[in-house]
Amino acid sequence: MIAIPKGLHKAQSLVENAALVLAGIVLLAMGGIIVGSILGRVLFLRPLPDDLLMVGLLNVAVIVLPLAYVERMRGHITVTVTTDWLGTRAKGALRAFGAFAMAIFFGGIGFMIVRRMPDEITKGAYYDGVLQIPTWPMKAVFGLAITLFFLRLLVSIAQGLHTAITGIDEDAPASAHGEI
Amino acid sequence: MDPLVVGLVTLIITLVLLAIRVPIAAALGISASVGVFIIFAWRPGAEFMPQFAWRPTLSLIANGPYDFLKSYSLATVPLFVLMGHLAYEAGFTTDIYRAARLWLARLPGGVAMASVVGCGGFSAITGSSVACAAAMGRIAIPEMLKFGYSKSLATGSVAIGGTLGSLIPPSILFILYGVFAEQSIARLFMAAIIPGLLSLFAYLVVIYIWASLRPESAPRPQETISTADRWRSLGQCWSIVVLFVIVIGGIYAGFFTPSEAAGVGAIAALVLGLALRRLTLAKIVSALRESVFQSSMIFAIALAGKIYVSFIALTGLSNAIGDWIAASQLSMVMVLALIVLFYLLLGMFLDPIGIILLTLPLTIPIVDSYGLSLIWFGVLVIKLLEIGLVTPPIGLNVFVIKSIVGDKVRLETIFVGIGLFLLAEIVVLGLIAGFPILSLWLPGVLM
Repeated sequence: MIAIPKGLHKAQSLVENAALVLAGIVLLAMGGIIVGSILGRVLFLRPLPDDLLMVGLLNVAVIVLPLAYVERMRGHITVTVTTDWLGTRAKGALRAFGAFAMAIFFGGIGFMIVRRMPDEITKGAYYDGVLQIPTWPMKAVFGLAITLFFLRLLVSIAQGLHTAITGIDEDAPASAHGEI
Repeated sequence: MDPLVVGLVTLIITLVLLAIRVPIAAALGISASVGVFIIFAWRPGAEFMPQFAWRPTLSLIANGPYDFLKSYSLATVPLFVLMGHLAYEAGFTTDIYRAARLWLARLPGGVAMASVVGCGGFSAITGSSVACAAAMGRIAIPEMLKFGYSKSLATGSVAIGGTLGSLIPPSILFILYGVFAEQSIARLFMAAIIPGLLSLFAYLVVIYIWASLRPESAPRPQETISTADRWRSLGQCWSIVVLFVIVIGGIYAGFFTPSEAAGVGAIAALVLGLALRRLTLAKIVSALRESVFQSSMIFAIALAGKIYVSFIALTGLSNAIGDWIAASQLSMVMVLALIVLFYLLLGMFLDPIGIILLTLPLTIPIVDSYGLSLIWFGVLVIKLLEIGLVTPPIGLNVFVIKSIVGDKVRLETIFVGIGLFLLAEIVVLGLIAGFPILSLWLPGVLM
């Protein structure tokens, strides 16, 4: 690691782990809502109100919350066969560039979503439906998750540059999930 | 600037980014966003006017990915992934393999056959080929090696068997295909059953021939198996059957939609695991962690793919290819052969989800223009992608098996083991392509 205090690094990892577990709980809740709605429909002829909307919104959390953890585990799928012949330094530079590209793309999406939030909160915007679920809470979760992911990508860029300079890849996880 | 030129240049840039290790999600997302910007900023015959491009480009980035993730039908994917992981953690996968092993023990290559049948069974409750290969690989390969099976047969049979994971429903790839090609996911699931079983049968035939011609590569286990043992092992598979019937039967009977089936399946796997005392809190947490990890990986690419699809539509690239095909007067068979070759080639280098998102905007209009069934085409595409999972240089399933066996088996040995199975794959592919009825009969009868 370069220039990142150990405590901060540990705290970041802790938050990422918590986000992963939270995503798992949300996933289970999605299944619960679907089953609850079917049971309500079959037994009482009344499905849970706004079940489709709730499941869709929860799906956002399930997908974005683990993004930072996936990056830490180098899980984002990358084609490596074309560059496997390169040395460690060059691979480090490419890793930094890849993380930079991810930061630009996902950072851009996160920024665009979050910048609309204040307006939505002021106007009290909500999704059409019985429960009138406000639009901003899941966007806030989206923004937080993307921020966490962005911070991890900054660490990845630093690690990649560190590898490019020193020739040592000391931050590689036991197995990189996403390399093909 | 001509949008078509922008499309072609962007396509090349995407491939370059992929080649230099930019994650697939970023390669697709950035090149598509820049491409959209250029199309709006540099309209044909006009000056470069970036002020007109910001709004549509930012609107696409702001709305596209979020609305895509919010889709109810796509919520199916993490739930099906969860069902598979819970079933694995509960040991249901081992039950199928054990039963198949006891029933097929007397046949040449019986243990390898059991691993393929186990993959087929597990495929009925998981939607991922890689998950299927990983789960069965951990169970079956050590046992085959213990019995003295040749390394190539032991690893090759599981790598190829794993490809059933995306062919036999439920399947993540079919869900993504259904969403992007706007086809009924329930029909796609039904359409894949016969081709899936046909593939499974073809793998069994290959193992039979292999073990008959070279008995030393598949020694028969020296063990006594009673009829009671066999029936008992079969009885233990009821949990898998129940899950499959709940999911597929529920969809077919109209009790719930494919999206709801995923939720029901996941909760049913959890309840079954808890009721049978096979799931502990640690195992549930492990299944949840793995499920959200995989789903996040998949969707990171898919949401970038969503922007890419919009970009390709803007370029008019699909129409141009369609016009070129019409002008060149290629026959339908020729066009299909080119599409098959195109997918086989891409399958050697890219992962299935990336290929689906990259190519469907181009191939769907072409296939549709010939009046061919997009349900049948979906089965054909998924089969081609599955072949790509075991072909060098990048065969995801092969790498998964390699990660399980470690230094005990060389990567080349696994690819050699797959060689014979690939011949069978070509035959099955020919049957699926030549006889659309194999895919279309079941949905026609049942739905």
